[in-house]
Amino acid sequence: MNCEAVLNVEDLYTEDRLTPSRKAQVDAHLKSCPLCGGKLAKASPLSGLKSASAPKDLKERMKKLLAKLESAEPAPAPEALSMDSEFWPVVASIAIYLGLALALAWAGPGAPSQKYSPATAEALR
Amino acid sequence: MSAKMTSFWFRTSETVLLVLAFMLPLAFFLRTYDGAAIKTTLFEAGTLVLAFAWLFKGLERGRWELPESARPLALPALALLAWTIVVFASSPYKLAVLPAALKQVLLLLIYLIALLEFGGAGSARRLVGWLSAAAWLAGLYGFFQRLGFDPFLWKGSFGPRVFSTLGDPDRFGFFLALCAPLTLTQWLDPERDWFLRWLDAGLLILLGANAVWTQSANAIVSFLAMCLAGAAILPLVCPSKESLKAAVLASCLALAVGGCAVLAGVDAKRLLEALSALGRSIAEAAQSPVAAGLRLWLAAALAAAAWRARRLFVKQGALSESCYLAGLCAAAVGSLAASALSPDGPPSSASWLAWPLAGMLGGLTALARRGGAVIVIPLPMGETARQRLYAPALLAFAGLAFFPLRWFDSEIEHNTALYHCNRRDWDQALAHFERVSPGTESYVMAQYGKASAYLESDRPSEALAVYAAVEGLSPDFMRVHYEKALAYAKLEDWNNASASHARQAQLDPSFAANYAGWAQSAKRAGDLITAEMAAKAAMALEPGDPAHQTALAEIYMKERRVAEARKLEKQAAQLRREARKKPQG
Repeated sequence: MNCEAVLNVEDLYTEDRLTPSRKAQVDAHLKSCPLCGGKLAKASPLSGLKSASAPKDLKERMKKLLAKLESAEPAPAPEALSMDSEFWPVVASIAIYLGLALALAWAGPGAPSQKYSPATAEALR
Repeated sequence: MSAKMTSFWFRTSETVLLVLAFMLPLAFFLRTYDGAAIKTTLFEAGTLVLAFAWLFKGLERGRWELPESARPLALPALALLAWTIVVFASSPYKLAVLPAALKQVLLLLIYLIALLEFGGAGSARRLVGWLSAAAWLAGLYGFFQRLGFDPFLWKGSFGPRVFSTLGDPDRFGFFLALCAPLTLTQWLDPERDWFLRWLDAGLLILLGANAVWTQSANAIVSFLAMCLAGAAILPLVCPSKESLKAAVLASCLALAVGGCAVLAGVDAKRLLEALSALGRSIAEAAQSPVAAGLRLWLAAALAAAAWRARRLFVKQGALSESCYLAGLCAAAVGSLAASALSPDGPPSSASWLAWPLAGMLGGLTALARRGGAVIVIPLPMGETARQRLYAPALLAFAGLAFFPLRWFDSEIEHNTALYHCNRRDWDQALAHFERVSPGTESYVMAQYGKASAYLESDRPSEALAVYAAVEGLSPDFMRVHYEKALAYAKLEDWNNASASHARQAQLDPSFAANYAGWAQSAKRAGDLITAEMAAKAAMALEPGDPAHQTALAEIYMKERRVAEARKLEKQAAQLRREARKKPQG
């Protein structure tokens, strides 16, 4: 791997998400290229925290906190009629589609479809 | 790397996929022979844009990546892609098989892109939403067709059967069926507004009613398969009270549609033919075991991944993901079942949508194992060098985008040529047939039409040259040997005419006109034994046609079997008298 290829995968390398073979290639390059090593060290300010571990009771504390928050929340009001943000773009697209379809149907190039013409139907009979 | 540009390419891909999901079922253009030909153009152009958006995104980031968890789902698709290319490259009739091979390649590409790019419940929700919008429009158009209100040229093309914007009752039926489990999924979605859930319930009724109105065994079988797949899979993959309700709803819908279909006159026997169709599908698969094996591998990999993801989603309490995983699973299983059970084989354009849905299903399963390793292909060049690649990549895109448009233009030309044929304006027809370019679906058909136009305009030598070209593209195409025989007969080359009729009879033993022509050619060639055999075959196929009796009488006269000839002539005269009486009666 050359310097550019290594820099193109630097975020995956620092997040330790490369496959072992690819990681070995990057490591090999970093050993021989101090420039890239320096750039990678700068690009990963959190790399020093790799060995830090979460407190053991973190999960329990989070659960308790969530339960507390949930109990403090007021009962949800009955849902009002609110279309989600996808609704109106869909309606607008439908309107545009219908307009285009009708314009094409009446003024498009070529002859009327022969599959459906009376002459073809007669010929097929 | 520009995160903004990467996001732009992702949004472009997603928009294109959503537009495809909306437009593919709805688009039609009644100036091509098949009004649904524009769907092929949209599909080709849309997949091309998707592929290039993915390519540009990779250029922007300086790498292409594949989550390791998605590798088992990408490998069978890549193997199938490679196999399709190998089969195409080794085919002696490349121009004839090009449209089908290209379609297979594009379907696999769209599957892979959906797998790599759209692996979230949000993407699945948007895609299903746009498909539902298309289903509403198509369903309402079907409803109006049922009432007799259809402002377009194809009104009444299938009698009372509705076909909506899909242009064919079978295709429409498959689309309705595909939408059934997806609508149930939307109905299940915990983030869905109550008003939209009511709309979903309404859509289910509209889908079921349209399926019955198609009066198509294919449509009914597909619909039942999809509903039953939904009823079985939804509570299994997304276990909740709501899923059980959805399963009951799907079962009731299946019962109602099946019952109404039989009451509405869809032949129950044809529905039972589905079982024999399954046998035929297996037999067809056995004819190309490599492709069938690869498809099976892909299906098995998807099923295994979905099962693993189901456990993880349930464990993590990821309701939306669980719900869309269930819906996409039901759609994929239902599509497979519907394709295998359809008495007339799997429908074309409507089934294309099953591939991006399968890709999304794969993407969702990969999401369950987010944070895993990534297989990456880095570009060995910096940002400036990569930016220089944009222009050639854009040029390649523009060059490839030309083909779908050119092929669509060819479809219009083909239809215009047929328009002139119907008016017996052969010169105009020939001019338009000439403009149909290779690679389009109707290319071989256009060459065949061109030869027929030459034949009709008394230019049999030119017709024979074009028929030879047709045989080069696709031997035994339609009735090419019969048409060749007619051309030879015009040139009074009776031996070749007789040989061509013989070949056509081998391919189509129930084609009476071919036997009649064969009898004449063999008689002129002096082969009275063959002539007698052919004339008798024509008589057996069309016993009420006096022309066959007269033809055999003439052969008997040549053989000096006068008594038999007279008897046949009397029979022919009797038949003619009866035919004259019939209209008066």
